Amino acid sequence: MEPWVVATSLIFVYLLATIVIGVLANKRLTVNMEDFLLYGRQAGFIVLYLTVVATFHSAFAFLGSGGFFYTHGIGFWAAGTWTVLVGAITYTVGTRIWALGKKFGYVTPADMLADFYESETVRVVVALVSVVFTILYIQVQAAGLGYILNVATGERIPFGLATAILLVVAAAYLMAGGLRAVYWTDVIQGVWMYVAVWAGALVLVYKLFGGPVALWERLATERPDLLSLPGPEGFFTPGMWFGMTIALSFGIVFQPHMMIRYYTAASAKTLKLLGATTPLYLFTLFIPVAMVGLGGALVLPDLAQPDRVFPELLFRYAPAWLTGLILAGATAAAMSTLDSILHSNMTVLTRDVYQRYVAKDRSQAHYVAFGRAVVVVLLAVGWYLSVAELGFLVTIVALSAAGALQLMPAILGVCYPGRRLTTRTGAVSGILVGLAALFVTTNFVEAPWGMHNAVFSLLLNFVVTIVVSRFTRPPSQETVERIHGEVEQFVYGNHPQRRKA
Amino acid sequence: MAFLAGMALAQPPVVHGWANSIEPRFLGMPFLFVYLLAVYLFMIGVLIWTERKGV
Repeated sequence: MEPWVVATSLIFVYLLATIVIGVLANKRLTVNMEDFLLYGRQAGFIVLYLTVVATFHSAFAFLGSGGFFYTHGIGFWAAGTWTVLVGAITYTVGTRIWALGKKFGYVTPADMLADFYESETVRVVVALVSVVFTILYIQVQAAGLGYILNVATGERIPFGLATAILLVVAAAYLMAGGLRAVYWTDVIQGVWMYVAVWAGALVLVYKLFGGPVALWERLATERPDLLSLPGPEGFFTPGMWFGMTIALSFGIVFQPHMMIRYYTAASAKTLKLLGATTPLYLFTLFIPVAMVGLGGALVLPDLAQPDRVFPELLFRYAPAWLTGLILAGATAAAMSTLDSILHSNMTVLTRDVYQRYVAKDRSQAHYVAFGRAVVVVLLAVGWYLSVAELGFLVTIVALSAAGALQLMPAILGVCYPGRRLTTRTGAVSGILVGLAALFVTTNFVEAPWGMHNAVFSLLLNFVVTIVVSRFTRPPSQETVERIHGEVEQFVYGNHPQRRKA
Repeated sequence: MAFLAGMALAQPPVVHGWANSIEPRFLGMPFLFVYLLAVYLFMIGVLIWTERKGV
């Protein structure tokens, strides 16, 4: 049987499995928003673990990061710093967000921030940041999926159709089963992608080099420039290393699809265990990817598109069944991120916009139906953006990685009680100045003193937030006592949820 | 504090200075790779220890 037939068949078997899971999740669905949007706040450790890691690692983990190792060498091993930091943030900040969500019924990031800052402006700004800076990831993941299926079929299914097929499948199981379907499919996706990337890398490394030790020996002899910093093209400078650590840890954790996952945990203990152990999965995924990228630089030194190093090696040197298994794993990586972003955008638009400003006091079934309609619209927008090749998208996608990072001072102001309070004017001013600085340093001038533009804009955001908060009206004493009191009781006191945990 | 110390060991200037070396190698792997692997595992160990202690 030809390799493309095997690869395509395995991908379609995988897609069929996700649809079956969507149908099963639909049978368990209770028609209310808490169940449809938040899994009824009852996600246990294994489900939550696999959905968090599968969502964190997108198509980039399979394709883009291999290309990074191929081009810039060992510097991308910095990925360990931000993946471990994600665990620590989950442990410290995530548990506080969970406690507040449980107590006050928050569904979205904007719910929490608007409640503390007593401001609809805060709600609108946070909802806008949540949607604008993640909706374009739909395009990135959809394009990645289209590319994978296009490559797997030997270009027999055109890119546009491939993208449409995979978007429709993701939207179908999301609409059928809500967040439950997303979580259940993420369980398969999380396992599949991890096994696939390790299996593929080891088979390739043993076949091409005789094993990992021989690979490293050859690299040290033939390409020592790939084994030290800042890498062959000088990319991994100290500023870039530190900047990527901050932007890709806090920046990703504060994206709505990750924050919403904190609300869904069954208990604080679940979330703490999650924070302590997810880095093991997240950073060890980069070990096989490093072997593929660095090995590819030895075997295929003149690739025009370094992102293609993994599939190129597979099609040339791996058996057909393994190529299919791994490309299905890459599909899983992209779909697990795509469905989460579709879900978070649906949640924000339904909860923060439609329910709040358009149609108050409707039935739960009405909001669930509206959420499903939003998914159809997002599906169409995602498909259009992925095939239209609009030039300005490149800039916006580059900005989006650091966009959610600008919510950090406002979120810390809620989660960390202190003598000096962050005010609504301070929070909004900080976010807007941070976004403006991010735009300017991305497009017109480099961030000063060798800083990563995400770090520079975040520093400016913190300064503006603190200074403006000194001179503007803080939230009411009653609200501060209610929310900060809850945090203090959860962290230090004899909190009922803590006792339960 | 132990976690923060670990994070400092995985950041510049340590990684771009003292740790930025191919030699000595361990199982063929360059020193920088093995060094960072050890630091990452240490930090995860701190997180797991903290969780087990119920902090």
